Amino acid sequence: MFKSKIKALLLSSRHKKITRPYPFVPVTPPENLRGRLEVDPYKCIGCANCVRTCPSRLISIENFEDEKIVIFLSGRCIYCGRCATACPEKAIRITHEYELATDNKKDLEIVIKIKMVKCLICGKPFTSVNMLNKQIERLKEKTEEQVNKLKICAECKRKGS
Amino acid sequence: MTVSKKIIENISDKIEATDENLIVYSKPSQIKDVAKLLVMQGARFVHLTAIDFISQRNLIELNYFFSFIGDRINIIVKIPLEKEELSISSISEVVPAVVWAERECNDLFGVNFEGHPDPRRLVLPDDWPQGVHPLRKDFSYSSRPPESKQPPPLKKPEEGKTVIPIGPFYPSLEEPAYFRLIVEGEEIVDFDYRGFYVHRGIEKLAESALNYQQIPFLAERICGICGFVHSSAYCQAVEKAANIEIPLRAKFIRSLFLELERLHSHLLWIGLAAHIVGFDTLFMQAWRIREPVMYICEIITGNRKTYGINIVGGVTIDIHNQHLKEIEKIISQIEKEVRELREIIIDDEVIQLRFKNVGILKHEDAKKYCVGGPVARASGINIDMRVNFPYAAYPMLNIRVPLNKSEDVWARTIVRLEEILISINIIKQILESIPEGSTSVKVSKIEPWKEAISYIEAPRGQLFHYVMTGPDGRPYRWSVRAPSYQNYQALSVMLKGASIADAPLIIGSIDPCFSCTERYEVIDLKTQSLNVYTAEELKKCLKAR
Repeated sequence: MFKSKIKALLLSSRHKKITRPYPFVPVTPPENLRGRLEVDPYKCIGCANCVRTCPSRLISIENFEDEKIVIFLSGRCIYCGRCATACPEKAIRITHEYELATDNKKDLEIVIKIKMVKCLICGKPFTSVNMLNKQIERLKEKTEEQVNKLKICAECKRKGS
Repeated sequence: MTVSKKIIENISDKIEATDENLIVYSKPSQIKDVAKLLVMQGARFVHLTAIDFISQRNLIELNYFFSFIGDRINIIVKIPLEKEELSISSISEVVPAVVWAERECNDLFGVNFEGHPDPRRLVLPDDWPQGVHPLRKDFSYSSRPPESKQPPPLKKPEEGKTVIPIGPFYPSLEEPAYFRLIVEGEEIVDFDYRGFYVHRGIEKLAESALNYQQIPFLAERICGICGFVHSSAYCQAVEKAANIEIPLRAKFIRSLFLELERLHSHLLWIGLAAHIVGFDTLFMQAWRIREPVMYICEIITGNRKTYGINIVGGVTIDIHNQHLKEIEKIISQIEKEVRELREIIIDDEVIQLRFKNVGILKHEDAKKYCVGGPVARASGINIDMRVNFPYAAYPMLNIRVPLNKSEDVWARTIVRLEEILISINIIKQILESIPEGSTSVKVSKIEPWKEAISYIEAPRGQLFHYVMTGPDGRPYRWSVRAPSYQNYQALSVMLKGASIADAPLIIGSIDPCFSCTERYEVIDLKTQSLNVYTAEELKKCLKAR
């Protein structure tokens, strides 16, 4: 009886307070921590890969006349990081920020607007400016003719050829 | 097996065999004979679930899952029920473990079980209207049927007996569950459980809104302590159904985290058990020893719990060699401290007095109720899914299964202490033999109408996941049976004859996990109506006194 109590006493006396004094002393997050999302509006091309992978279905894309609006309702985010992996342009970045408590859900929302490009022939918006710039960058010969070819939507291209 | 296969052939329409599954098609009138025969041959009941094929073939298919543990064979008995006649005789006389599963099928699919001993509502909330069955495919996952006031489905005590309600907020585990002890003096004579307050409609959501790769993250949220077992079991089931072979390194990483999870889950339980009997020094120390496991998980995956690393086709992270070394250091330290902890527990007379000969679950009863995990092993049943149906990296590892024959809470404690040390040993083996390589494979389209069963030895026992792949890029049916689901049903045996003071300890001794067990509810019971019932209950109790 006593033996066990003495052992318990020894076990507990060997260790001092191990509770961390957080929030008075800040904690450095581990390297792999997945925190708040950051979205770069200049990189996003509006491909909707993230919309399909997000387990909490918090990303939506709305199409308007001359712009696409990508909305992240990050209050529902489970910080799995799947969107960042799925993004072909690396527009979504996962930061180490974890102190996200707020009394207003809107604080966590991310809204980005992507300008759309209108087709030179039919005038319908068909691709995002970011996407077009990327395609132009990839062109070997940046002649005006080649660039203008990219500014025509797939439908008009089919009709023309 | 060959002999019994012939006998089964006589009473079934068709038999199909795959690698480890034997699918038996039979008629509704024959289910009792089939069940009797399987039990006589030594089959263990695992689960019963239904699949809605009303829109395709105008029927609901019942699936009874049995397994022959020695032969590593699963038997799926498939019984079609016409939509117009959703009725079948209950097999609870032959297999007592089926009681909850049948009640659940009645709630969620509207299948009537004739001769069921306890046909009350189990899963659906008290104010759910009659005749609305949420897991049928014609019920939209986002619809909310109107409330309908009904008397709560509670057992009425016999004349002269009193009810002691514990809950609906269970105090020592701080979770919603409502235990009703029916007592005569100090002695518990009957027991009633009304739980399922934490249903979240997880299966329904997965079957109607998510895709294959999104579900692992939902599955992980079934449980807050052992979530990784659920995502692993789900991924394994889909991988089996779609014939995906995942890289060896991914298998080892899964096994590593499954063992780390067992380690911290068992340490948590030891702390809780000590807390229930008032030994708070042990409670604090057990949880302190547990903490480094959480730290190392955080360093590797970014999260203390709910790692979010499982996907169909492997895992999303890789482990650096430096982290492997850190794990080794931490578990060596834990091993030393757990040995000290074990000595303290084993030598303590007060703990012995409280734990020994309390909550006895006899070997036969444990078999009858098909319990699993430490509860079964403490009643002398040699069952461990890591050995019986090896998965992940376990076929390559050396595992010892601890057994104890004293059948009480003490035995469950000793078994869990042993298991911690065995887990540490397994982790050491994993660290030694983890191979290099990639950690995931790309998954292409998954064919519809394939099915698979996957087992995992969770810290609390045998976890069962069943997946039938569907045509819309998501499972057509995903069924989860948590280990506590089966262990709960044996509680009535453990509690009968015990004194009131031992009840929290006995309930605690199965390591109940409420959110695991109660995964599917569609709409939460509103707190308001919950309060009303509790007040009524309390008034009744006061009157009875």
